[in-house]
Amino acid sequence: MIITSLKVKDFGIFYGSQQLSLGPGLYVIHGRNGRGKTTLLNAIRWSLYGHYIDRQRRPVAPVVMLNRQARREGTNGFSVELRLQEGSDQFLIRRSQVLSGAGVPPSQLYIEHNGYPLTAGERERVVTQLLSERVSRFFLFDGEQLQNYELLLSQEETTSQMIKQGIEEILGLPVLDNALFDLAAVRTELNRRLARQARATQQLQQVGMRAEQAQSELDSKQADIAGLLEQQREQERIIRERDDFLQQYESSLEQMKNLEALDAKVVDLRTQRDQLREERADHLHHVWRDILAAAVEPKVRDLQQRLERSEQARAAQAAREQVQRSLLEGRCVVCGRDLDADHESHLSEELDRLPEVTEGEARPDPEAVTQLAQLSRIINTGHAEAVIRLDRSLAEIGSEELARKQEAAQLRQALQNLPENEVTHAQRERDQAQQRLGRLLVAIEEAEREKGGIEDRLRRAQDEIRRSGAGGGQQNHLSRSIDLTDDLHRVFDLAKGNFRDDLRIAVETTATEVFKQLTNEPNYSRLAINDSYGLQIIDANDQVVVGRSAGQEQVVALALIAALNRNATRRGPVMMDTPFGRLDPTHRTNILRFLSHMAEQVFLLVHGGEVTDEDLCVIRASINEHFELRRDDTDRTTIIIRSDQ
Amino acid sequence: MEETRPDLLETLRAAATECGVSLPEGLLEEVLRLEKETTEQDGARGMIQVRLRTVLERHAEEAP
Repeated sequence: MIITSLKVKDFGIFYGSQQLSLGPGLYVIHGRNGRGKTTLLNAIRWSLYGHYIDRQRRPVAPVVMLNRQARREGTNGFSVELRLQEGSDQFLIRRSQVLSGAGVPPSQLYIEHNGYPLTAGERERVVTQLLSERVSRFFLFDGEQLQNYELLLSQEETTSQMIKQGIEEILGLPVLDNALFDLAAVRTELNRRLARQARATQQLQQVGMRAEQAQSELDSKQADIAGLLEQQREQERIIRERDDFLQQYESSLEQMKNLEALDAKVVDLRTQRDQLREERADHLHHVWRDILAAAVEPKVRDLQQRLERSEQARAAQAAREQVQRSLLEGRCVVCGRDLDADHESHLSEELDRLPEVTEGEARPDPEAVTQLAQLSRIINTGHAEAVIRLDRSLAEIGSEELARKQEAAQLRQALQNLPENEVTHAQRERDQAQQRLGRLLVAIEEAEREKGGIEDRLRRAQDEIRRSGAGGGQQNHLSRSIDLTDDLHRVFDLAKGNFRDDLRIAVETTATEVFKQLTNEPNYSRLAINDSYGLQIIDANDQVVVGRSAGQEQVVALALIAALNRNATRRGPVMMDTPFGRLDPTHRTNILRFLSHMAEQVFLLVHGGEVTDEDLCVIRASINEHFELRRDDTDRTTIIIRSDQ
Repeated sequence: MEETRPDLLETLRAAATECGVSLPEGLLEEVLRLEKETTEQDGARGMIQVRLRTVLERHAEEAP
């Protein structure tokens, strides 16, 4: 499919009616920022799907989509018209929006197929057939969003599951899914007929009733499971939407966590400070003792010496008394041995050497003991040192608290514009949806188990009916139809897995081929695909390249998109908005050279800083037309054809 | 670039052989054609299933 004409009327920055006549090949649409490149991409999206999402993934209100100059002049509506060619079929798709004073009615979609208008019911179906919204991300895309494809490498991500579904749709897998679904429905109908027929036969009446009962239970169980699956999809949608919303505040949320940690730290420091202050007050209560210590110390020393001398005198007196008694008794009072002349002479010398002690000197001094005990309590308490130490700690804590408070204040200032309530609300909703999803998955598993039991009962009843052969030719025909349905179901089921594997190999092969044309790294040998169609770069040593740069990521994503287009059941125009933002000049040139091979019709929406005229020289021969978005004033852009061909 | 896309009908035939299933001639083609024609008509599956059942019953009747 290609776009043969695009007409915008008072849409966004495009004032009045402006038209691009198009054919197959490469189109370059050049314009500085704010000239309407993304608006053109959104005009196509809006004409097909009826909604316009801005870069922050927020829906844009119709009143904002109307050109401001046109609004000032009293115009109350805008429209986009696409002409498409699919093989030999021509389609005209026109969406228009009227803004009335009473409010904003829904936009109107009008479609002609080969000149004949389609009914309302056919219109949405035709759009889905031509380019369903689920797969449009592979055709109409913003270069900045190419990094989303990295999510495919993480297969648990909800977004990656959504992209995977889109990829499988574009590759044609829903044909097999639908066939399996339809065959199961046909089998159910045939089951019912078989049971009805059995019930009408006298000898099979009871087993027929059992089969009908089991079928009816199976229907209810399947309806329950379908309801649960619907709820599962709804919860996944909520998670996906909240994740998308929260993603834009990711860094702010990180800062919020830092702020919470800082606030907690400040509280902790305050608690520490209060404890230290209490401790300090306690020490301060006793610090007078340390002040008096200097005056008391000489007196204490004097008392200690006095008591020491008194102790020594008592010891000397006791020794003299022992020696004197031994000499007097002629026998050692310690060991009890008799003294000979030598011993006596030795003891006499000892007696002369021992000092004579007066009674006063040897008398115990209880007063000095009491005084020393009292004065000792005053000295060596360490209260003053403790106060000094605590003052130092308090100063350190105070300065840390101040620093943390300043840091928190700066963060608070930075987070001022964060819609905190909305973010908190979204987080809560996401968490609740995650919990509900968990419960639903358990319920689905349980329901599936119960369904298995019912199916067993149904199968046993059917086998009984079929073995009896009591239903005659009609029953035989029904049995053959059932067998055929079962055979087909098995074949389609097996084919689904095999076809998916084959498609993955085909995508991997083509993506590798494209990647090798786009990359400037000779050490990369191929791309390897995973179950979710995520692509890893493999180097010459057959090792996975880890830590890919944003530029490499973009090249891999473009290779995937090219491979999908090549292997898709339905092909469409590729429109890329600012795809070169993260690429170096060599990659840029490689991609420019490759563009005309990417699809039958390719649109490149670029600004001068991204692709220069020099760059375009490389591909001038393959450019079908070069348009420029010229700014007339702040509210008007005109599309002109550049004559530099 | 070389065409690498696998053929769905061939995949189905190979799956039938792998399953050891012998299907009436033309049945796979007919079912696949029907599903391909109607694959985007999510809301109209009831009619598709009636057509599919008719196809199956016809082949069952023609079977020897």
